[in-house]
Amino acid sequence: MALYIVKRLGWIIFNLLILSLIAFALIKSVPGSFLELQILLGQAGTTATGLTVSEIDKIRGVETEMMKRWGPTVPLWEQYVTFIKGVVTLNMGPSFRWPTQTIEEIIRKTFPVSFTIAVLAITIAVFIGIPLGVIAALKQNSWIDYLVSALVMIVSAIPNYVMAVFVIFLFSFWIPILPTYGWGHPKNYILPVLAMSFGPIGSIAGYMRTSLLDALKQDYIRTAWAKGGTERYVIFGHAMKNSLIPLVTILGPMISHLILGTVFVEGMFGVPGMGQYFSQAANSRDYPLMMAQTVIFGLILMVMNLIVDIIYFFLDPRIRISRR
Amino acid sequence: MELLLSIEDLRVYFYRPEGVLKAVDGLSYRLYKGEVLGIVGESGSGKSVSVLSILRLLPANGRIVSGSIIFDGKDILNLSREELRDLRGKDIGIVFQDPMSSLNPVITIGQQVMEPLLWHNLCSRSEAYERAKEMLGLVGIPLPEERMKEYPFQFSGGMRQRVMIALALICRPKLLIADEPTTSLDVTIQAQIIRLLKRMKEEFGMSVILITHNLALTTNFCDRLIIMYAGNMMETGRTKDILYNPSHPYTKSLLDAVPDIEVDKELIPIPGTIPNLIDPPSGCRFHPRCPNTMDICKEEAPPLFDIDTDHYSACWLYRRA
Repeated sequence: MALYIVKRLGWIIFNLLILSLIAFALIKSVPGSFLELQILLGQAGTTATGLTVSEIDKIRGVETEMMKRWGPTVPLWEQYVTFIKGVVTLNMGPSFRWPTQTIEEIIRKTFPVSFTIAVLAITIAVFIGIPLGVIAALKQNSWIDYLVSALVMIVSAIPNYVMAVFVIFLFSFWIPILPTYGWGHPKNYILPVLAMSFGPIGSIAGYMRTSLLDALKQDYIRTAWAKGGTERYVIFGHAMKNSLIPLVTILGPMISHLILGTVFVEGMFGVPGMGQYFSQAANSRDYPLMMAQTVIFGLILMVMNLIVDIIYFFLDPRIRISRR
Repeated sequence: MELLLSIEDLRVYFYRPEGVLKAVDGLSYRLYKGEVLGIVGESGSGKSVSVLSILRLLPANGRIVSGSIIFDGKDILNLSREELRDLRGKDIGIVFQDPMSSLNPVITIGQQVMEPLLWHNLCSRSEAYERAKEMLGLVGIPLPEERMKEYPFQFSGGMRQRVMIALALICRPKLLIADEPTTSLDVTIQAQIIRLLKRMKEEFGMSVILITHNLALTTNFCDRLIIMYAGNMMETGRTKDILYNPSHPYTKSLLDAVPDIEVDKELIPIPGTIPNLIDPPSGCRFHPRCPNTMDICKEEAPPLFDIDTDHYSACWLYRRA
């Protein structure tokens, strides 16, 4: 098992290198650059990048640093090496868009926020989604099943920023108990977490329903009935065990996407998470931050998949024993 | 002999979008204590459905529309869920066709064999462990204690079927149903499994119903046979009477289709296919494929006619004038 994890970590590093190379090449080949925008800035004023005059002044201070790393005279391979070195030594230099902050500062500040929200949202989704799916499966073709299936469809189809509007209406307008915007108080977590949990609740409930229905059709369930099992023994002792295994696979990518793919929701609630920074990085051609973001997203996805595989390892004896 | 199971005029229908499929249509038979009964027929003849009805384990669209099943004095079709659950696995054990899919892939063999004892609260966990170990040894699993920690995928097909037999017998049932227990196994393993069933029968003295489409498997094991076709009983009698003195044209064709290594004979396949049971043939259901069809066969289903002692045939050929 330890050897397996080490092997997987090796693969993650290798994959990240490939990923960063592709990201670097793609970003470099996109027309327009932050430096070009800077030149435009000199002519057209502050509107082009949204920087204020005082920020531009601060840029002047880190200009030499940036030119040394990313300047037009520096060869591409050297820029790439600098970038990789920066990632490894956690010294990625200043962001273009927020020149007063280094990239690692931005990540250190925003990652915990996004991560906490994502984990809370997925936890809620698991604790609501699984029971919903189980009830729907056990009462297949009853009104409860139809209701759950309809809810699954609705919450999966509605984007989370629309859900955000809905929860704002519900808890800040009709029942005014929660703040609509702001940060700093635990209360501020509630609405964004709620808004983000609806989609995953839908997918988890839907997945759980299908997975449990499939398990209940298996021959070994007929065997369990034939052995004289009660509903409790047959469904929770046998069928659930089998149906939870495929569910675990979708949780990993789901968390990764929640961590990074929540730009709109963060914007609506004023959450200082990663999504905000990263979306602006792309708009302002902030290469260092964009590349850091690509690598981080890759890293989160791969680490989540590794965690899923480790959980799999404990849930499924077929994998556990074949890898021993 | 003491009666264990009596089935009267059992009708099991499947409600499908295309129509009502009459899988078992008026089947009656009896099983005595300690007796081994073979039910033989092609796939789709209703043989499995007839025994799944005894445990009321039919698929959701299958319904027992009429008839009665009396097992050990209990009217199975009128039992509560609780009473039925009490019978399953304890008084009636069943071995299914495919031992790979019939065992839960993520639960240890030991746990799966112990479960019938635990679920019926027959003994403590440690005693269940001992009994499972003993039973696994009895069905021929080497090193049972080690293998109890393993999972089904670590067992070969034949070994898995032995595990199925162990868990069907662990509560010492009065009836063991073996539903095509050898069909998914290698030919060399098939004989071993039948021998094992026979040994278990001698050891525990329970009654056995063996479902098979392979007449050859019944010869040394079954006391009595029922030949089924398209949801009806065609012929029934003692095994040797049926094998050496078959009366029904369907039984005769079945025997013609069985290869015999000692006699150099031509295998004769039965012409045609098993009928569509949503719209079955009129009269005798075998008449479209029968070499001896008469006019009455197309009009009226034959009752069982006496052939010999305990030997009956549902064929108009044996109508006494």
